[in-house]
Amino acid sequence: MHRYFPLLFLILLPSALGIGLSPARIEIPYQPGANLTYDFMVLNNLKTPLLVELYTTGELSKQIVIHGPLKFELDPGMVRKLSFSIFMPEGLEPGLHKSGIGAIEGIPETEGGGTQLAARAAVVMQVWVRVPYPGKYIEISLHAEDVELGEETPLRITIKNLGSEDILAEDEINIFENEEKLATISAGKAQVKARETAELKASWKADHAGTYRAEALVKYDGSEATASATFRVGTLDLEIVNLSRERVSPGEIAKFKLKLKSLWNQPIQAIHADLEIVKDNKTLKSASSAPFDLGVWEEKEIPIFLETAGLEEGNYDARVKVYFENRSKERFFENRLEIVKYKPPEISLSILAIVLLIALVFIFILAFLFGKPRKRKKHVKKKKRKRKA
Amino acid sequence: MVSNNTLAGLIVVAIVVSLASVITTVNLASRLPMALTGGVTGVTQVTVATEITISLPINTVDFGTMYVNDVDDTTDGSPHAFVIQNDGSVKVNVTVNATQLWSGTGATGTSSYYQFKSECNETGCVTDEATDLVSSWTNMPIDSAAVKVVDRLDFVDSKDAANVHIKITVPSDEPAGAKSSTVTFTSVAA
Repeated sequence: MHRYFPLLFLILLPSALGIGLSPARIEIPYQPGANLTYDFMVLNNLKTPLLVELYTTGELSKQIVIHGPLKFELDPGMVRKLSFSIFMPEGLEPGLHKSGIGAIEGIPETEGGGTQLAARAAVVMQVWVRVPYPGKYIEISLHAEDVELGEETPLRITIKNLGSEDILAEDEINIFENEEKLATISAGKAQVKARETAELKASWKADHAGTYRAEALVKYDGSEATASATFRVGTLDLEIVNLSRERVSPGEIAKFKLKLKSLWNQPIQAIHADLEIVKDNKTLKSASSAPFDLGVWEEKEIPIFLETAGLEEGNYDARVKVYFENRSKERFFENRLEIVKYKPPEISLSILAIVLLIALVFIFILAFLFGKPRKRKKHVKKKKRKRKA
Repeated sequence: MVSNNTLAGLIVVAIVVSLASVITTVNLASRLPMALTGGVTGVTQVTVATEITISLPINTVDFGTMYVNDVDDTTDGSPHAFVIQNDGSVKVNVTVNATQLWSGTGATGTSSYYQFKSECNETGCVTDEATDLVSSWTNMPIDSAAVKVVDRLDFVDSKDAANVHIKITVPSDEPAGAKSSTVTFTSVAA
């Protein structure tokens, strides 16, 4: 038996939250028994006041003390500077000890009864304590850049010596396309002192465009460390990133914003895009953009104006076709045009304020120019009387 | 006695002269020699602090009226999925958990009656979509440790937003009434 009940599902989240912390991460070298203090900031990027609650989290959360209130209100666009201290106990194991300071939106107080639904978002500033390993220990990272077909791909290995002794590192980098190994190259050797960082560089040239993976293997004094990175070798191509959603009244002209991204290391010229409004797989309306260019790897928004006369109220999909250098690309977007009977005009508050200010200045000038006419006439009359006598 | 028209004219002249002097001063300053004496140069360094900030452009999901055993989700755009946006200066890993939604049998805790998954709202929002997103329906943690919803969410404006879809199933013995849940997204630097 069906049981009908009026359910109101409201899964609420923090209302357009813009709660932030800076810096995002603090890395602290281990000093047993030390009590160190650091500054941080809490940000409110919203246009409304924000209730903030601070808390500590992680392995050393009980060793962290926040100096200042743990609950406070932050005005729109404001930043509050605070500090915290952390005590580092003796005998921590080697490695990375992760803790953090979190900021979460506080639940605003309400008056009266009724059902209150509250939602929050939180950000956590990472507070990491790094304890060096006894002897020899490294961590590595690999960075590879995207290039154009025909160029050398720069590869960079960063070696962090997290141990207490110096090491001699020797590397090897393997290049893969999918699971096929294409090449093995070397970036040489490096002497890295304890608690210091070094870099090794190499390069590789692809013979065709595509996405590749580089895997680095660094050997040092009988041990190994690995890292990998993916990179692209570009070709003449572009990506249709997004098409804006527009909401207009019947018969209005909709201004769509088409976002495109070049995937090439050279400018692409004389591009144009066609926009089709589609419903039930039928094209109902179409429009084209003016010709435009895309710079190297450039991402750009292109306006396309579409007349909506003849379209009924409702939601419509869109298909975009982009033509460039004797090629074309196509992408389908759902729910990109909404025709509504009445759309309230959008007036920016800043424009309204400027108009009011100009009007006030104009009124003031008029009052200044045309004010106080009566005193002059009285003065003239008195002079005439004196002459008669 | 100076007339009002004359005063107004003087005000206009004063404004024009002020603007002209500002423009002239700025132009002159740009032509100043690099060094006044001895050609000494200096270096100014600035370090921009990292910032971790998230916002939620779509922060409510309203499924409206449902019957017992009904199933609905946000993949059809009605209602729209949540949207998480990275407004900071570093890539972030985002986790999620929620408060209890149902009171029916088997649905009070983490269960298949309340699930989520994630996708990019803007192309390329994560480093690797295969590993950084939750592409299959996953049970929402209820009043328990948060789980990954998006990893390495980018901060570049053109690709800094992800959708979090919700799927709910009304338990067969769910009592009538308004239902609600609070979802919390927590982000840390990736």
